[in-house]
Amino acid sequence: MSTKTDAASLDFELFRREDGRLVMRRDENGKLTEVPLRIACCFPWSLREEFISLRDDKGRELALVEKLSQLKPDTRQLVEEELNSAFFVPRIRELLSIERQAELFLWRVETDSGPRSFLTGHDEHPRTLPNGRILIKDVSNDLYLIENPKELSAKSWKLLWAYLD
Amino acid sequence: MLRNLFQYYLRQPETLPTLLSAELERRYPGEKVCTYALCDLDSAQHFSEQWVIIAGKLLVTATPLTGRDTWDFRSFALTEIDSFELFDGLSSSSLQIVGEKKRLLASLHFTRRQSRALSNVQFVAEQKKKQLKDSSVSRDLADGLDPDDEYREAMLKAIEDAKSMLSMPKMGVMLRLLSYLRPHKIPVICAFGTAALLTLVLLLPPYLMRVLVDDIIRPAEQGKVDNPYRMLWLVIGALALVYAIGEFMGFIRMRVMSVVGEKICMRLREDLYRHMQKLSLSFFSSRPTGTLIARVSSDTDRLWDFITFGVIDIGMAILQIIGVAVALFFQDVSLALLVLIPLPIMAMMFYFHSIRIQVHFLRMWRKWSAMTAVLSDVIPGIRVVKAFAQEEKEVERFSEKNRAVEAEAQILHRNWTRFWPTVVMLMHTCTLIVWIVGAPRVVRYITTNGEEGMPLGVFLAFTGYMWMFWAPVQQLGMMSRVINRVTTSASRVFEVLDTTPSIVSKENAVPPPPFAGDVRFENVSFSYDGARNVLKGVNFEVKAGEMIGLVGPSGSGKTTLVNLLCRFYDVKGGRILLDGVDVRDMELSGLRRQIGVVLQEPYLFHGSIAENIAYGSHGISPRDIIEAARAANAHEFICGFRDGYETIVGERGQTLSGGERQRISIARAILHNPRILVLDEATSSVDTETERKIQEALRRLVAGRTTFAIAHRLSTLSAAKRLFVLEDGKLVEQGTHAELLEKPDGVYAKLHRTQVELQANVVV
Repeated sequence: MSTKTDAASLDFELFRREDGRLVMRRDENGKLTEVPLRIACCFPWSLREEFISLRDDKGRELALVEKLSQLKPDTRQLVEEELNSAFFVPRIRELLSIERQAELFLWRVETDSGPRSFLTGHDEHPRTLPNGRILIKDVSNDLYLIENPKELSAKSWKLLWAYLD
Repeated sequence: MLRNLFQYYLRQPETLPTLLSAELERRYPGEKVCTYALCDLDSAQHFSEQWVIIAGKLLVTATPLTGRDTWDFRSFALTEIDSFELFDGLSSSSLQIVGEKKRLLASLHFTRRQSRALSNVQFVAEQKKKQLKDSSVSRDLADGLDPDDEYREAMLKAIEDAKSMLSMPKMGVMLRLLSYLRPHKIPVICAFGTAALLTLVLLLPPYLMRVLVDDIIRPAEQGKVDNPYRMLWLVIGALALVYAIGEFMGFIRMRVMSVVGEKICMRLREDLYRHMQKLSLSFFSSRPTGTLIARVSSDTDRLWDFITFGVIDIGMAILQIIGVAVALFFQDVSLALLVLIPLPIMAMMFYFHSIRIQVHFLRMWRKWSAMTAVLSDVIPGIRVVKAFAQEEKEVERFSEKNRAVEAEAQILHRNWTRFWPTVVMLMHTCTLIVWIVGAPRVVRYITTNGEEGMPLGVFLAFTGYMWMFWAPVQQLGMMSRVINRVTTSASRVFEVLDTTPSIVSKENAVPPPPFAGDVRFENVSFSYDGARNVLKGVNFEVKAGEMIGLVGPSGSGKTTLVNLLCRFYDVKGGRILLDGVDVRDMELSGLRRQIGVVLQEPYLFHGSIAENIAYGSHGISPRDIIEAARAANAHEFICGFRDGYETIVGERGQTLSGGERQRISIARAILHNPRILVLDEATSSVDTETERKIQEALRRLVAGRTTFAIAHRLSTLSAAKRLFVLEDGKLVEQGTHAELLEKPDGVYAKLHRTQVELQANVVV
């Protein structure tokens, strides 16, 4: 199990298997092995394109990609696809209402993925991420992201503002 | 009701759409729907609708076609499915259904809220597949369940959990706060009575002014009275009396209310702390200590302020407004109407102002607690700060929060300071109007020799009353700020009081009799967050007095296992039996009293060593303490201290070394004399001599008790009667140290090899 990130460990090929799995094919001591991959992002909120860990089903790291740009274009595209689906978070475009019920809050929002309503717990405030984005977690652990709070409409901002830390 | 919840919170169908189930029946006759779930994302990550249904021997997916009355169906025989692969993403998951030869049959995407329903689908599908392939497997699984109920329950679980965390308050925050006055009825009524009297008495001075001018000075001017001085002294005496009574009433009211206020706050603080002690570990792990401290200390203090002064002030102000208004009308009706006109406008201004400012108070409170959170986070870790020379950085972290508090406060102040002059201006305008209308009438009264117009005394009294009228209005306005502050604080306090502990004794649960010490885990599974299972179907049986060593890589579930045994958390599946009784059926404190815990990082409270050893035990004599300390090999070093057993140890026992603290906590456990012992062994290395002493102490402690030791030291491992090896939440191996070592590919054997290698390095 190698966790080194020298150029040699990036010497592999990725392809999508029939069952939809991303598979790593590489030369291991002269033997060609194929391992289905799972992808983890070390800094999902600040460095989405860097330090991508490629792991097998047991969670062992097969390679750590320091920068996506180090990969060959077609490999990179496969990794990006996988990242996009695993790290998908609905992005809030507009806030329609925030209704307070005792200490729970019912949000109605418009996201890039369509309209949504969700409930947040009484101690769960929107969290401001280091780069100014705002993350909201609901009672089911679903996440919602406001990519650029400054671009929200005045009405949305007015609703949100009172709950920001 | 359920129907409403679905529409209200989730905005998704509360059952399988009727059209869809009708269509299903038509297409796949005889295949009964067992369970279903909604996949609310499509492959392009848009919210959409796709149903996955287990019907009879089939797995069916259905996507609505535009037009909404037809569906695109795909179906697979369950036997055709080779495996399900679940991929948990950040906020969404996908379930790949894979057929033979790794052919992808379907790929389902959904958000977290659907996870539970989908895992039901996966579970049922796997069970049914097994039944279909092997007819010997019992067939009743999942057949008796109502699919609609299952789906509903799965979907609403998270919402119900969040709601059950709060016992919903029935009254408004203010009313609820006032209800705390109820036990102090007599003093409160007394205070209100004196306050009312005070208000009435204070209405007199302007009237006396009127008498002075119109009945004494003016007539004297015109030579109409013989001896004006008698009347004069009478009026002055009356004024003195009014003030004296007023002062006395004011004194009584303050005295009574400050006493009552303090009592109420003491009760609130105590209620709050008592309730916090009842709350489960999960409550504390999710909240910074600082904000909890703030709620018990500064928030209750604000409530005192309000109860002592605010409540009565408001009552008095309202009474005074009414009293003065009556007096104004009594003096002159038309002028009184002029004064009252702006009143509704002002009321509205106050109302909108208080709504606006409430938000600021909320934000202000949050910034404040963020600031205190920094304190309670950093001060206990001050050694780390100093060791890494991060003082400057920490100052910066604090001052950042401090600045945020200041900025928020400035916004707040800007808001109300801007509001205030506007209100005062309105008052002044009113005064001007009264002068404009009233003064000419006084002049006319004099020029017409009292035939028409207004006597000077009435005018003076009127203006006097008018100022008395504005004072309470102004006070009420100020009060709105106090009320806002107080409602924020009060709701923070009530929020804690309203949180129901998630772990409680069942009603009429009885304290368990002294345990023999048999422990049994039956198919126990557990998850902290509801998503990732930390324990997965753990089964074992331990006989009374047996010592079990728990081993496994970190994160394998060892600590969770003992947490469940102590019932710090409740199992999510399966059950835990002590002497054949489910721990959930036992009275909680009775259960915990019989379980002793020696933690990795022993926590010593501020107090003497003797107090720390006796912590949690009752009726302890000094001899007991010494004997326990002896057994724990602690007696020797304790006697070496100048103050002996009365040596005060710091908040975290910082004046003692790690080995010493550990031995004190062993002494504590020995004295506590539990039937079941949990030992969380420290990995930190101490010198060999200390190690030997600790081992010896532990051996004495363990003797005769059922013991679960989270062990790292080889000596403890070999002392254990059996070892349980955990990996990834599962019990993968068990047996004695020697037995396990014989399995060359065993998890334990591997762990042991690395351990030995490490130790070899250390020793050299």
